[in-house]
Amino acid sequence: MDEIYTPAEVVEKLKAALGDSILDSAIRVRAEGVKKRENSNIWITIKREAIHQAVEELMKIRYPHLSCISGYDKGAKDPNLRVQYIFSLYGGIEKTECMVIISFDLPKADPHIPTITDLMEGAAFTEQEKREYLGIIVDGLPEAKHKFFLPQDFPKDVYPLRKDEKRIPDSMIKDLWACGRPENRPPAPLEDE
Amino acid sequence: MAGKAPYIVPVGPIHPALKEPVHIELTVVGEEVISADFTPGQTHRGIEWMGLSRNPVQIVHLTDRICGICGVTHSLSFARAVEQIADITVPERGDYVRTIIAEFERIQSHLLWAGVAAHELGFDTLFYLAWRVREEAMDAIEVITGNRVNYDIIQIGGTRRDITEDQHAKIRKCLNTYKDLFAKLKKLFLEDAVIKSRCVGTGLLSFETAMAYSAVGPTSRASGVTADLRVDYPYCAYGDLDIKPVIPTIYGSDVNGDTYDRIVVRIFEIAQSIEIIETCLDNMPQGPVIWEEKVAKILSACKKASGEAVGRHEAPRGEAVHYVVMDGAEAPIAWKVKASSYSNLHVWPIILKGAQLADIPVIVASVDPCLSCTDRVAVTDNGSTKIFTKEQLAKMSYEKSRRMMQ
Repeated sequence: MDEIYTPAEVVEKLKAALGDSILDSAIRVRAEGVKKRENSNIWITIKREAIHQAVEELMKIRYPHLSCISGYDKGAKDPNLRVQYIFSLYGGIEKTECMVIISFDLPKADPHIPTITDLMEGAAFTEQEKREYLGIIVDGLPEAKHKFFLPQDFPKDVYPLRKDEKRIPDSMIKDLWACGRPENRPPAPLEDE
Repeated sequence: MAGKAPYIVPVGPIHPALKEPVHIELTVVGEEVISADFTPGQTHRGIEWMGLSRNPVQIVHLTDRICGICGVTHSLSFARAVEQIADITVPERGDYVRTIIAEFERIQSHLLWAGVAAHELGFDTLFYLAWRVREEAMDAIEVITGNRVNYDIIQIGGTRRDITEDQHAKIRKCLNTYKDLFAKLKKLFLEDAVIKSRCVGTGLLSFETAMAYSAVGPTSRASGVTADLRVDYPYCAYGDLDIKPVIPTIYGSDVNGDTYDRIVVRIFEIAQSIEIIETCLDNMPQGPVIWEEKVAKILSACKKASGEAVGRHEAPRGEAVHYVVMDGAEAPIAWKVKASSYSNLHVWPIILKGAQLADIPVIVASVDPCLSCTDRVAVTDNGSTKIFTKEQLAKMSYEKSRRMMQ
């Protein structure tokens, strides 16, 4: 059985392996219930180039559970997206599981991330989601036969979670209010001013 | 005929009572499935996108409507994420009420699933029984929250309703009914010769694949993965309890990772949930159930908050994760929902491989996507696709019977 490291030791190990690529790290502890048993989340910000290596290093500590890869657009005027790899370590061991969230900024001008399916087969599904929702290009992930998360006839080069010019155009949003009030109904109790 | 094989049999879009109906395409040779592909996202509703123009309290009510079965799962995960960002401490009693309602949700969800599984096997009397006894849990949920579905009991900072002494009698009555029923359920689902012969050895998911695909909940536990957030990552009142993850060995059998093991895990999790609710009812701390009753004050606390957090909850189907980022504005700047089935659906192509056509429904249902009705079936033949509706198929079937009678 592998040795179980505390969250602080996990951070130290990753820092030793990744060196300068780690820009920031924090451990946040939450305690709930009467006994206030603690659970920890490790937040790590890295340089975008280091993601594949970071996942490799994490896997050396223990085979992690990948909840999902998440991402968001930092704003219409911001040149970056932000991507989070949400892992947890020590799942299956009583009261020891901790989350490891690895984040980095990804320039919209060059939205490439390497696939981690060579390390974890099952990451393909969530990587595909990032393609469809944010327009991130996943290098090394085979092109999917069809869309998995959006309707098959969804327009090209429109990404629902983007906030810049690639966002959903207003024409795609159904304006319910613009339909007006049905005519065959009794009048509204209050007159419009 | 031999020249045309393999055939492609698309099934669906199916209506699971989850986020979306699913379309499954199977390539078959004879009766055997050689590969499977699936297309979710048939009803993309853009809930995450909608959330980005709403405040956290509005989103809590929106999360209740992500899934009709997991009414607490998403609101609890989301509320826990926001509470971490805004540094809100939930009162201990609030944690207990959350735990109780979450466990009732597990009971009703597993019973619903058990009924569906029985129906998929063609065992409709068992389906009716499972759904009949599920009503007890629905009634208890109604006593606690006022609603059968869309409970709306979770609020940022706690719960909107308390569980009072006079409700205890009704809740305990429900729990006792299930305790009496458990032996019967166990016998019907796990000792039945037909269920055994159809489920043992079908839809195999190995431990390694379950890990590599990050499968969650009963689907992964049936493959021997001992992960259960309630045990590993204590939150709400789960840290105060002495619980162990349910894996198939609880029934004295080996871990095979087949459909049968998934039934075992779910049936025994119902018993575990009953125990958890009883313990929580006995040990409920006194005090308020919510950090702040006035919604305006909750909102102003959220508005000042900035940062990112992850809220997790072990839903009936497994881990649900909500990732939220706020930056001192009314609406969050990012909100990501990872439902439990998100981590389980993509094992379908693996567990369907090598299955017999007739076993597809129960294997598909065994990961608990609530396969409620098959909308239409299309048959691809030499490139041209004919799509039949359920009614047309039924009509064809009746006509065939007539022809045979003549």
